[in-house]
Amino acid sequence: MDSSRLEALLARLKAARDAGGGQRGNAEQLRLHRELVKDCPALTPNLLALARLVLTTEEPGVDAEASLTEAEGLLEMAVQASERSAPALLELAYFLDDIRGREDEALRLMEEGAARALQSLEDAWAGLLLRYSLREQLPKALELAVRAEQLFPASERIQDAVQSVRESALRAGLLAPPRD
Amino acid sequence: MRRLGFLLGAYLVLALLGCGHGEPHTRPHAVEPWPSEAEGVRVKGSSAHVRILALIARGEFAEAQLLISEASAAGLISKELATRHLHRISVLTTRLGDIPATLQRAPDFPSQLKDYTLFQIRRMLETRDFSLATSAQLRMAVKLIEDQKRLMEK
Repeated sequence: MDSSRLEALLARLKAARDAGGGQRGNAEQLRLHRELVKDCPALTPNLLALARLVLTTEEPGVDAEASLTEAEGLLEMAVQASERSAPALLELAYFLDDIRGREDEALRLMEEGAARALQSLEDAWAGLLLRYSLREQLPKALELAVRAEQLFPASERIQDAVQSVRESALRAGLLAPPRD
Repeated sequence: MRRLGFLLGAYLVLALLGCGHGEPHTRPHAVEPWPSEAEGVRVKGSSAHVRILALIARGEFAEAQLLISEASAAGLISKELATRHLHRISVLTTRLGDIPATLQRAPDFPSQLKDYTLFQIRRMLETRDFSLATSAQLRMAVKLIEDQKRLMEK
C-alpha cells in the first residue's frame, strides 16, 4: 500500500486548513481546498471543510446561488464518499433545512445521522466498560454503566458489559450485595 | 448596548401586543434549567438561578446581566453557569443581519427581519404575530441564527 500518497493528501488538507489562519475563507485557502477535491474527491473531511467555508465566506464576484450550489454538491459528495457517515448526513441536513427550507428531508437525515452515531456510541461504551473494569478503574466503569443502561436499555451488548462491571465491583466490595 | 436598548423598547411593544399563546415550554429552543447546575445550585442559589432564567425568558437582558454579575460575585451561582447565561443572552440578542452574508443570500431569506434579534423573532412566532413575516420565514430565521454558530466553529 502506498501510505506516502495518503500522507501527502493529509498534508495538503492541513495546509489548506492552516491557510485560513490569517483570514478564514481567503482566496488561497479556498483554492487549496478546491484543488484537493479535484485530486481526491473521496476525502470527506476536505469536502465538509470546504462546504462550511463556502457557506460562510463571501467571494468577490461569485453569485450567491453559485456558492450555495457548490456547497450542496460538496455535501452530497461527502454523504456518498463516507457511505452516509453521521457527520456528513448532519452537515447536509442542516444545509437542506436552513438554506433550502426542506425541513422534512432534514429531519429524516438527522434521524439517520443520530441512529448512526448511537450505533458508534453503543460500540464505544461496550468496549470501554470491559476495559475500565479490566484495568480496575471500577468507579469510572460503574458511572458509565449507569449512563449506558439508561441510553441503551435494550442492547444486549451493553447489558452484558454492565453486568460484568457490576460483578467485578461486587467482588471488589465496591457495590453492596443485593439484600436477599 | 444600543441594540439592547432597542430590544428592550421593542419588547415592551411586543409585550403589549401579544400575550403568549405559544407553548414556550415545549419548544426545542426554550431556555431550560441545566440539570447538572440545577442540582448544584438548589441548596443556596436556586432562587437567583430561577430569577435569571425568568428575566432572560422575558427578554429583560440588562436586568439579567446585572443579576448574573451580582449572583456570581456573591457565590450564589457558579462561574460556569454565569458564563452560560451570558452566552445565551448573546445568542438571543443576535440579529438576523449579523449572520454570515452568504447565508443571508439563501433564496427565501427573510431580509425584512434583518434588524430583529433572535428573541424578538421567537416572540413573533410564539405570539403568532405574522405581520412582518410568515410563520415559515420566522422559523427559518430562528434556525439560521441558532445553527450558524456550528458552521463558524468547525
